Amino acid sequence: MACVGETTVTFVTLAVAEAARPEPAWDLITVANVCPSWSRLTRLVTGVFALKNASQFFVIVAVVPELAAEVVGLGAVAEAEEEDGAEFGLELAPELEPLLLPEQAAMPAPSAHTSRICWRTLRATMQLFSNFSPPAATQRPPVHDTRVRHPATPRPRAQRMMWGNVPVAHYRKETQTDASGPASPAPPASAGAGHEPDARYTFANERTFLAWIRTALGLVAAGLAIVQLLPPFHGIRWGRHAIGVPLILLGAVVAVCSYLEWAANQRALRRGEPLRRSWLPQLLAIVIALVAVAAAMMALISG
Amino acid sequence: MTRSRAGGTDDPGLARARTNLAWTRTALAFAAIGAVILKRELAAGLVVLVLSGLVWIVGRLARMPGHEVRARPGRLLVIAIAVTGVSIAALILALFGPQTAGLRL
Repeated sequence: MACVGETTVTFVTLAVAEAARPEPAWDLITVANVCPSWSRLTRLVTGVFALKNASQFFVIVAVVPELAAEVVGLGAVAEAEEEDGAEFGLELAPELEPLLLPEQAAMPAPSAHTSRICWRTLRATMQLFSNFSPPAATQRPPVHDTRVRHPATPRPRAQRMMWGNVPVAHYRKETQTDASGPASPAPPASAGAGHEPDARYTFANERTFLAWIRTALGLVAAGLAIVQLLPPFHGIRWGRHAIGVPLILLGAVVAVCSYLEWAANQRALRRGEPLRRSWLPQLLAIVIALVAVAAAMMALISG
Repeated sequence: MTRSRAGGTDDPGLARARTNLAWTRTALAFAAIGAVILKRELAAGLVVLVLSGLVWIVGRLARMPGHEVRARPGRLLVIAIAVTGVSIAALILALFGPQTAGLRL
């Protein structure tokens, strides 16, 4: 008795792998995939990486022919900037200098301007790790490139940081000569009669005066209403006057003192001096509290 | 908001608007107390009402956009004197005015 079965044989499975594609590269790739012990070291020994790197190098040289000239130009820029750096104390550590050229060569350089930016950025980064002493404010060269933060113009957040041995805030104070002006205008320093303060300070002082004037008017109105509109207390003939008249007097005092305070504050702003403490709030609180206590007592007494 | 520079010649942004509103509130306070005085003393009340208009005009003229922002002590002194005068008038009215029975609620 015979058993008959159907067997399907695929020639691709049984074929030799190297014979699948005749190209040498595919041959190498196929061998690499077949051999389990194929490693990076093996590829390096057999020359795969060397071929790859060489082919990439020739492609780059062919596509970007100006790269060589750019590298030469960067060398000239580096020499010029090193001269500037030496003039302003921007010396780089000797062990960091070899890092400059590979950094430039590794970056695509569409223009000489971009290369200069990259060069400055790299130099600024490397100066953070080297002994850098900031130059004097008068020797600082002008910064025309706004896309690069010059070492002498740190970020605002860096005001609390140290730049070398000098606080950055002190350094900014010396070098703050740009056209944008100070970030927050401060009152000028004391100089004789002083200078006109910032407009916002003038407005704020004026609004404070007007607020005190309205308070005075409110006190006068309250005192007058108490005297004229409040029903008299039983048994206390001058009860309404005892409550209302102090408020009216306080209104007059507040009106006069508010002007005196405004003048004193404006004078202090002009001279850059600290504002003196106002005693009007204490006076107002004390008088109103006393009047309230007196009114409560009279209301209790009169029944 | 526009940032002003030291010297007070630029537009200080919303500070001018807030100050104008403060002047307006002060003028309204003058008008309110003038109305109260007007109920008892016609002449004094009219004077205070005129003062309220004067305060409003002073506030508007002193803070027109485009004008140089600087302190004007004279105008503020006028306002302080006016309030003091109103206080004195109210004091005189309270002390020597007719005694009323007050409002019956």
